[in-house]
Amino acid sequence: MIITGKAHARAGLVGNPSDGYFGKTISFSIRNFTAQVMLWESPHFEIRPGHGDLANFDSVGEFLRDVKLHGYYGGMRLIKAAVKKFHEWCLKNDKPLHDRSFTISFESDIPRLVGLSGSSAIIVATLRALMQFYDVQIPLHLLPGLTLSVEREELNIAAGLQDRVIQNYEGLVYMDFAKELLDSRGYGEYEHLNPKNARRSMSRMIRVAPR
Amino acid sequence: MSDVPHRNLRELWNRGDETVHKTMADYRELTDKGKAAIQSGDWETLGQVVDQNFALRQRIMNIAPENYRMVEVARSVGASAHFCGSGGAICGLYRDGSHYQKLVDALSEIRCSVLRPLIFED
Repeated sequence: MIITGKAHARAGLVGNPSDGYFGKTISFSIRNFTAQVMLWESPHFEIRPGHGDLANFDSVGEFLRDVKLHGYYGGMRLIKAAVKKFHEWCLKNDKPLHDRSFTISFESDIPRLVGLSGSSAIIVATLRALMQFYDVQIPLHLLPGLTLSVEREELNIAAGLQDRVIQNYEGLVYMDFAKELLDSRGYGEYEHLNPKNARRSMSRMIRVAPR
Repeated sequence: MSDVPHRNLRELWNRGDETVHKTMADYRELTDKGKAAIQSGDWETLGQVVDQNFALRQRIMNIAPENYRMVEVARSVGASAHFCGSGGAICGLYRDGSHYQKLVDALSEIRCSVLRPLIFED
């Protein structure tokens, strides 16, 4: 059986970048773009390399094209860090995991390096697949913090909670990162918004600059 | 390309810089205004909120010229605009089909593509 986990690109509508500074924000999903991981049980553990992870190319020119499109870091380090953090979380929270292994591969059509949260989408998609594989439920309000810890603690990527909230909650979400909330319980207040005549009136656009 | 100014912002915040602290408080207020606009379907106000959000960003961060240009071009045809994230892509509101077409035309001149995001699951 192949397990899939998906996550979408996102945009901050209001409040960005106050999420790291006890502010408030509103973000929305961009379902036009998706990161997807596929995971299946296997006798060994394997992460299949994707774009940006490859070391074999037809020519130097092909390699240069890959670097231009995907930078120096692919998704592999994200998946490694997500698997590690997931296991640490489960250990700490008394959720015993079976010891079967798996192979995981990923793909993403989220444009890279333009601030659409393509990296954290791969992490969210991985965590979703892992929860299925191990049959572990992590409460929704804790997932943004877990996602962020993968980036911040494991990979030293500077990031805030906002993107991880919208990618786990999806849709259109209002977030309050008040100091009192974060200090006392470690996460903010997250609320789905349902605008009047949403599908017709919430006409928005985003523009992606080509690289 | 994403701007990378967050480190500097963090330093200013940690130092207790007044402008930065005041701006973060302003973001809280502005976001509540945006929430009310969404809930009442007041898209004109929401557009203004998006523009004000960009003004707040300019107060505390440097904006790369190529990113500024995208926002400028979107605004030149009367749309609201600010960054989706840390730069590279922008988002905002338009009014109707012909307005959307104007945006597509104006932005294609600076080689930017425009799309309507699918926000909700069907």
